[in-house]
Amino acid sequence: MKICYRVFWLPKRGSSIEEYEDAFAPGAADGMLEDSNNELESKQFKCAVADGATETSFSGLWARILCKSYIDGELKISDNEILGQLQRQWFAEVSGRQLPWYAEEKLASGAFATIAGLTISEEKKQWSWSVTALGDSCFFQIRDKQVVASAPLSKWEDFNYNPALLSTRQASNEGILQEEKNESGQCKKGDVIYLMTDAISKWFLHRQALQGDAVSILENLNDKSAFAELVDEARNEKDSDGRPMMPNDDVTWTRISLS
Amino acid sequence: MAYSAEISRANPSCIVILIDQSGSMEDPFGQGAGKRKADGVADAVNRLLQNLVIKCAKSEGIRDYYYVGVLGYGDRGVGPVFTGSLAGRELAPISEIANNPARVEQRSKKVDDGAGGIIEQKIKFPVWIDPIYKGGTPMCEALRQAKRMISDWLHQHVGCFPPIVINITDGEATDGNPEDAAEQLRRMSSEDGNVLLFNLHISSSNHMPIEFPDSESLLPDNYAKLLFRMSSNLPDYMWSMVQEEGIIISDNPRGFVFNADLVSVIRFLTIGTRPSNLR
Repeated sequence: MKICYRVFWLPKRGSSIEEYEDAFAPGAADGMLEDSNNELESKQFKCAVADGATETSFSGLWARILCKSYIDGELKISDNEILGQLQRQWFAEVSGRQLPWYAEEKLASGAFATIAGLTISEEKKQWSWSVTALGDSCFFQIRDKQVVASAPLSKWEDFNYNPALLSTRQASNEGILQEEKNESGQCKKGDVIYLMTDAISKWFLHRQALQGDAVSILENLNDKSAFAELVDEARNEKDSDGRPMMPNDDVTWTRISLS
Repeated sequence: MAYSAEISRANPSCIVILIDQSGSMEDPFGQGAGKRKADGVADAVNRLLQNLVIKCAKSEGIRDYYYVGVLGYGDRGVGPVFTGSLAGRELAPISEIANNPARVEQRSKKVDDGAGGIIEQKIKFPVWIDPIYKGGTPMCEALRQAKRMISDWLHQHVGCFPPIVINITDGEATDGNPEDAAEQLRRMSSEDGNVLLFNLHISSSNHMPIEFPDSESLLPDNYAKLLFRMSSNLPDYMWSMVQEEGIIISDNPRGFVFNADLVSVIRFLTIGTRPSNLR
């Protein structure tokens, strides 16, 4: 089976590209182009998206570390030893800098991120997917333009400002690790899979519930500028409570198609 | 829907703290030889500023999500109370506050040593305001000055998350009935909702604090009832935060604490200024 992988991403409105704190993997460092179809012939494919929390510092770095660890096959959210290694890696990268008092304090409270990792693999000619997620970054499986599976959330009303977040501080993860969700299922030629961070996941589910055309809208996007236009419009559009259909947040959408 | 605007560098919000600096603030919190009320409030407000700064700190520096003012009212009338290089400033962006504390003190706090014991840990404690306690309580004038500052702010930030004013006091106004000035303050609004005015009454007595009441009838005297009427209803997002703190409240509470002790002062300031939507 052929796997095509493509990533679209944007920072918050009003923020620069350098301030983007979502993450995805694989990316340029792994030899993958973001803005074009990467065609792969493989028996296994791994990708991940993560969302570094705005209120913490160096959270984009933490999100990148988590994604990279997932595609390298190392990340197991509930494994304290592996998590400890990643936490030390984050700490090594941020420490040793001369920082003002507030940055030091902020660093001490750690960085936080959500993560969703996807593995597609073939065994005995049967293809399957498995998802590991903590927080509100989401997986959607699309078949014949319908959403046939989603994880960890499946309703737009379930998004809030307090998702479960994985921390660089061991103590902050107490009571959080059991929030990890693992789901799996079958997939086949013609399926399309999305991995998305929360703002676009929420928009996707809300739009799909209201008008049923979110899949068509995304499938008709050809390039980065069309994606930017869509995000811009969705951030301006208000729902019946007067809230933006797509919250102003970093946005990441990875599209994986099987053919 | 009100109180849902994002707080961002392009759309910052504003917090104004009013501090009673009258002579009675020299008395201790509760009865006995406790901390003076003025010292406790100064510590709590310095801590609040520190927490706001840390909330706005990112890897690249401070993001100006907030403009903050602290006005005192007492012997010298009403005016800004920042000391150090911010002295005289009514409203300052949080980045300037971050980079200009009057001094950074070393204090100690007790922490768990992880082995069943308690150890003292040195912490940095930035100071922007010092305790003052002298003279009367010109609360009406303080509310009017807050209204003027916020009116200017709202002209330039029409879509902002509504400004929050927290009035910390231990006694009755000596310059008239503040109810009218409070109402005028609360009546101002951005496109996202009305200005929020919360009142925090601190006490020299050992009576139990009354936190977030929903009616005058439970309050002990006319002064408490007046402060209740001066206070805004808690918006929904803040109601949820109060619940999360484990405080039992009714459906329609006011942003008001009567007879607050130091614990409820800190808790109230934390809840009253916690953002719902930083971007």
